[in-house]
Amino acid sequence: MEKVVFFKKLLAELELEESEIDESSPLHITSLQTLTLMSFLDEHFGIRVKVKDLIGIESVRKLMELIGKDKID
Amino acid sequence: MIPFSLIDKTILITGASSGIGASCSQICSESGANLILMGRNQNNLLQTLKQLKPGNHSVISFDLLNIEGIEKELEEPLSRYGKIHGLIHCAGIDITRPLNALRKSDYQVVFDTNVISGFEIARILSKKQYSATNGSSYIFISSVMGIVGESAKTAYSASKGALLAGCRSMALELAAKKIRVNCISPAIIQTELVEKLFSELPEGAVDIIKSKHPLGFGTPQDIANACIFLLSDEAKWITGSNLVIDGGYSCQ
Repeated sequence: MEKVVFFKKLLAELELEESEIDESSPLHITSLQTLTLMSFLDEHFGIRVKVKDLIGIESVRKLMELIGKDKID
Repeated sequence: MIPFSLIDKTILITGASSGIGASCSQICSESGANLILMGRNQNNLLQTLKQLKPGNHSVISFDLLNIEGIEKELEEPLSRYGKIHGLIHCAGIDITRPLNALRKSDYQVVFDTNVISGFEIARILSKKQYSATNGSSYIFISSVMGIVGESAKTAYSASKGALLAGCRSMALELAAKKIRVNCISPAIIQTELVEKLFSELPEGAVDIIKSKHPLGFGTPQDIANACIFLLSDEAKWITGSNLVIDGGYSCQ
């Protein structure tokens, strides 16, 4: 997935307050948003994670690392 | 007279390979019932079978998502038993996902497994050739989620609510055939599946969930004990009801 598309989709799925995000953006999400993020990762990247795995993912960069650099251009 | 005796009764149990279904199987066999155990995993069903008191038991390995095939699958075993005196529909799946992440396919799989497969089996068992002349009892395992809400549970709670609503209409319709239809609504029951889900949650999350259960979490036996009562002749005047067994969860 292209980076720009990824940022847009993430912003929309998580309904984040920011108007734009990039790698350097912080990611502070609620428990409900965590569940949404789990579905997002499964649906778009085929990655199945547990709630535990998302603890400590506090920036968009860290999330991108979790997904794998090869999956986002 | 032995209370809650199921001697000479044949009971079909879905989801019998683990958790509440396996426990219901064990307690029903101890009460004297002959059992038809249904589940997806043949090996797990055989494990359940090993735990049973000897009787005329059989297993049917079948994926309830294959709804169209249920009647054909049941034809041979049901005709072998003749009359069926009870059903416990324990099979169920849970999708915990916020509304914005739910898709049509999620609702479909949850409703097919939790609701439609159970109603289809009830339809088949209520046919004249299978329904016992002295009465039958069908139990659908619903959930407190069918009566109270919880974030990210829209699909699951809708399916469990559908069981409650369908059960009442079914009870009215089948009363003339002396078939009683009831639901049991548990809160969190400590099964292997729940333990696995808990292990995936962050520290402290389980304590928060537990604090919502004034009597702590339930055990599969807590539900199985209620099932043998509803299946037995002692419950002959109970139909269309919902027995909430939740350790106080829904009092709040």
